[in-house]
Amino acid sequence: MIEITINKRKISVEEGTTILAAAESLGIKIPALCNHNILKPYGACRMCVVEVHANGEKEITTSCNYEIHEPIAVFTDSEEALNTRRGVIEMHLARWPNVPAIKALAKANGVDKPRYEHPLKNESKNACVLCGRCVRVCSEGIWEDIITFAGRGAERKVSMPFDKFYERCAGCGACAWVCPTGAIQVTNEANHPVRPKMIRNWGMKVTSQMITLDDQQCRMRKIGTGNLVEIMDDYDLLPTLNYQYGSHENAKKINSWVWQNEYFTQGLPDGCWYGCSMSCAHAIEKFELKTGPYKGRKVLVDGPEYETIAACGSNIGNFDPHYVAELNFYCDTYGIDTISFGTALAFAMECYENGVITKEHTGGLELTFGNKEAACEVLHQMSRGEGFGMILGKGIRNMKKLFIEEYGADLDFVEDIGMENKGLEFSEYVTKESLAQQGGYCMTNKGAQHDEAWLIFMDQVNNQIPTFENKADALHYFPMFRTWFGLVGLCKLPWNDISPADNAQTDEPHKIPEHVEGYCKYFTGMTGIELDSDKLIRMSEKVYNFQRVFNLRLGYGTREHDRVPYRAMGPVTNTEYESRQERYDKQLKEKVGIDPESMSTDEKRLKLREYREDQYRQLQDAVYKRRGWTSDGVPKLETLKKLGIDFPEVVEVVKRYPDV
Amino acid sequence: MIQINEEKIEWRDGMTVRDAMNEVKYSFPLVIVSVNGKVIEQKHLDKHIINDNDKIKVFHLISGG
Repeated sequence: MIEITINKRKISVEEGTTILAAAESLGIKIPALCNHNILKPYGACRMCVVEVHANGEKEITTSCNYEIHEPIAVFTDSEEALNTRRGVIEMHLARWPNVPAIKALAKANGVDKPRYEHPLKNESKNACVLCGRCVRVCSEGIWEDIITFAGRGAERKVSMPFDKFYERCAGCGACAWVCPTGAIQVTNEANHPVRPKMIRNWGMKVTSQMITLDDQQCRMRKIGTGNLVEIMDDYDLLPTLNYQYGSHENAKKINSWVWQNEYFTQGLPDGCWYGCSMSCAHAIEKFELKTGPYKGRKVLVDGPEYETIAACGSNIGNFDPHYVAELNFYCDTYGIDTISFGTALAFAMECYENGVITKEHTGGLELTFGNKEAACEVLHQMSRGEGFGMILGKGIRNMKKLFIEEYGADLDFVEDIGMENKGLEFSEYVTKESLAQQGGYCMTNKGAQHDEAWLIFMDQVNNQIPTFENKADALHYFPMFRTWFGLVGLCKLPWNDISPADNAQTDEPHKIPEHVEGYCKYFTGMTGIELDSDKLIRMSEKVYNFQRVFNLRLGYGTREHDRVPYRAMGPVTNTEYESRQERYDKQLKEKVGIDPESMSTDEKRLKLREYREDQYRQLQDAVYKRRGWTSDGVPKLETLKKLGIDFPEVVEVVKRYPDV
Repeated sequence: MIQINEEKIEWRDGMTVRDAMNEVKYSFPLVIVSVNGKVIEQKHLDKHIINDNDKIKVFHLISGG
């Protein structure tokens, strides 16, 4: 810390702080025009000049870009500083006499009217004052250079290349938002929103947060969701070897820094959503393929994202980033989901390692964990509808049936380790230590995925939802909230992959209230219909219950279909138990109330299982009650009525079940 | 001894909040940290020195793709 004085008031600042920022923290306002809190200091307008005394020398200098590296004395309103500032303001006023921002600065600093006529006088009140905020936000904030300064001296102006409209401009409006004079305005609202300003203001709020906070938070713009690899590994949540474990010593070989430093080549905003300031998708260029029909060709790989890294990496024991990218490319090319592929392959590999299937079934493929070449071959076979690839392509649910009925597999073992619910393969999180997340995965309408609710930290790390009722509340709110994104077709990442700087001070920081409100504003701005967070949840509840009834009509949607494969609940094998023995023993002692000392691993594992399965049953009771469903998971008539969806066809479906 | 969420770890002289978080591998960046009930700003986590018997609460926001 460095001690300085500003107008003789002492303040301690971190080295590198600007004078302008230090003055602000003391409540001393220094006039500035080109400065903006989301942009880097620029020093263009020169209005923020102050007098600085350092090492016995005195100078008049701009305060916005003066970094403090030694003890100094600053005078913001000394006669010399004021005279210089007034001179600068006078020049601005002479050239742009009717711009409100300039007039206000002139008035506040005692500049009446200019003493001379400016040869470039522009009398428009929306004149461009060449502060450069728009040019800088386009470059620094949006990572584009669509507008820039053109011309020199008197000819200097803001322009697109060759003075023509540049079609790369997505119309994000960031330039207009930072413009202090209104020289840039959005006039063509292509989608005809009812209240465009409401949308833009919220959009820019998120963009501002991306620009200023993302580097310290999730690095979405640099690496995207891949930032989670090492984090999940640290918390024992990274699926490894078909969800047996949550971390691996080789995880570092596929962590985010490997992708950022050695693979991703495009530091550009991607085309996922034109103009999006989060730009979380990333790509590998000139990637030379080692297998398959395009072997030897150099291609562009779109990704990988976290889920792909875990599914086609750690979960199948593959810690070679090249092969993660290779599987990513071919899944994309063949139109196969990387999550379902990886999770299904992880299951098949564990079956192979346990003798459930052999080379006879795999057509000679050595399907051990980590066999990356075999992984690629299965994928190529799947695309051709051949061999074991054809079997894997049918998914875990069908594989389990086949292995049990045709290959004589042990039903219990296969059911325990086959990570699917309602026929959908699990996405890539280990849920063993979070009961709420087990519910998040399986008390769902569309099967095992984390899109509806991700509650692991709330449950496992924060211990924020300790009771069944607390968990049930979370398993009501979050699935409803996240269903809403699907209803309106909006991306959910700006909700929780960037967090406002003052989020900690809110009542419910885990919900990121400012961003929930922002989504409501977005909806209202677009449609004109007022929306708040309660109404938002109600909108989703209707759809969510409809979906449940739809499932029932197709023969799913009751309690039995919300079953969790035991691997998602706890250790299936003794090896798994022993790998986290300290944790499990402690739970037996503290939660189950038995002394594990003299028990064998088999006995302990089964006791833990009994306890955890019972916990899940109790959670089901609480969740169904909270959602207004029967104990079999069927929406009650009163729930359908309350939501206004008690149409005859709907009622007919649920009436077949008891207690509705 | 200090407490960080549910875990108890050894205290050592000069330990910062970040040191304690590293010890229990709390690497997730979207967290709200308080020491004895007082919220510590993100930028001070590396410098804030903790005392023996302090209680650190690290509130993790929601993650998950």
